[in-house]
Amino acid sequence: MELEELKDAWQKQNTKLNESISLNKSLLREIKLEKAQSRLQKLYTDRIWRIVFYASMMLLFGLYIGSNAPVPQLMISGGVYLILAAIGLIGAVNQLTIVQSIDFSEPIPAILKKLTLLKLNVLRFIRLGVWTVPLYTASIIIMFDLLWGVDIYTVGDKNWWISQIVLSALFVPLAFWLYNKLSIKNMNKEYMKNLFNSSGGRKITASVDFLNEIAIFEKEDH
Amino acid sequence: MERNEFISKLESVKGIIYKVSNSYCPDIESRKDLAQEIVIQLWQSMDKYDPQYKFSTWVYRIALNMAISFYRKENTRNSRTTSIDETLIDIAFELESKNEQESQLNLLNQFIQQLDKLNKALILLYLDGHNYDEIGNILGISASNVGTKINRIKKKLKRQFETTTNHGT
Repeated sequence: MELEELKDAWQKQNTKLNESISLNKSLLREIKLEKAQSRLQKLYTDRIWRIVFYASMMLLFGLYIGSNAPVPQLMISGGVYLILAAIGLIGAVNQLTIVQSIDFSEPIPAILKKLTLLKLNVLRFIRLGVWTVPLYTASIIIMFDLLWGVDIYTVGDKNWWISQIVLSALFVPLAFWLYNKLSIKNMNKEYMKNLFNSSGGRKITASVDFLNEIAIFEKEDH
Repeated sequence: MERNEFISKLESVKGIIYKVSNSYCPDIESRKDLAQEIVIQLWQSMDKYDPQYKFSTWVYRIALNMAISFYRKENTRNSRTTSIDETLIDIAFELESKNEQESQLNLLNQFIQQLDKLNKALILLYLDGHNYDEIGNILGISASNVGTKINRIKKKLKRQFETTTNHGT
């Protein structure tokens, strides 16, 4: 049976279908459409909350730096986290820009690309998270200060500090290597698939696969 | 736009919402969710509708975008919409396979379910009688690309029909 023949039958079936289906108008009147959160609104609200969170962190760490001037170790430690919060804020603002540009009446591939790029943008900033590893010393300094009011840099053992500095220094090439390896370009490699086949990672590979699917679909076939 | 005006506009496109929900969601609860999400998105996008374009084409775009963007086969039901026991779109009776042609339509439906999300959208639009330009407009590809892809799908479906028919005899 040719598809052309079935097309007529399909359209006749459509007519029968339209006659047999009905809108639940009373339900439609009840649903609070104005207040209902569409998917897009949820993405938008989520980004707003992230912006608020990172901006608050920047404010807090800014206050921390100000209140601990001119103690350099406390200011530098606070500064590290201020910068990380700023990076998070930039990421959230980028993502909000993408969300605001989404209009579901656009052609389908355009929307799919934007949504996929949104996910990949999130992952890009998560990738930046590997740089917190060599900077862990800053969190130790801040933690001791905030929890116990102790300036661990001043009271800490010299040898212990040397070992921390050495460890941080060793983490730098590791972070650099990880940062380069955790690249979307490497997504098809087996080690990346194994590394990313965790609950968050499947979404990454699915997003990349989907972008490839869109690209194949859009390509002019001959 | 007033709610009543919106509901009467929906009446003309209820079939589109039903078909898209059915084609992209494997289970009843997901279909309910998707249908509701499509309606919410349509309501919230109404002020952007440009009357120079066909309303049904605009609705198809939004419905397919929602279905393809947010609904994956592996999604377990995790209702993000208001919890409703009733369905927005009811069907009075299921169309039964009374004759050979309707059996073949069922087979066609099954084959369509196996297509990937984008090709599924393409074939649904084609079967609904949209021309290549309209399909290309919705899917963001050229009319000639639409034609090539449809021919490819036709050949694939023909092979699958022949395989199924041969196994049945």
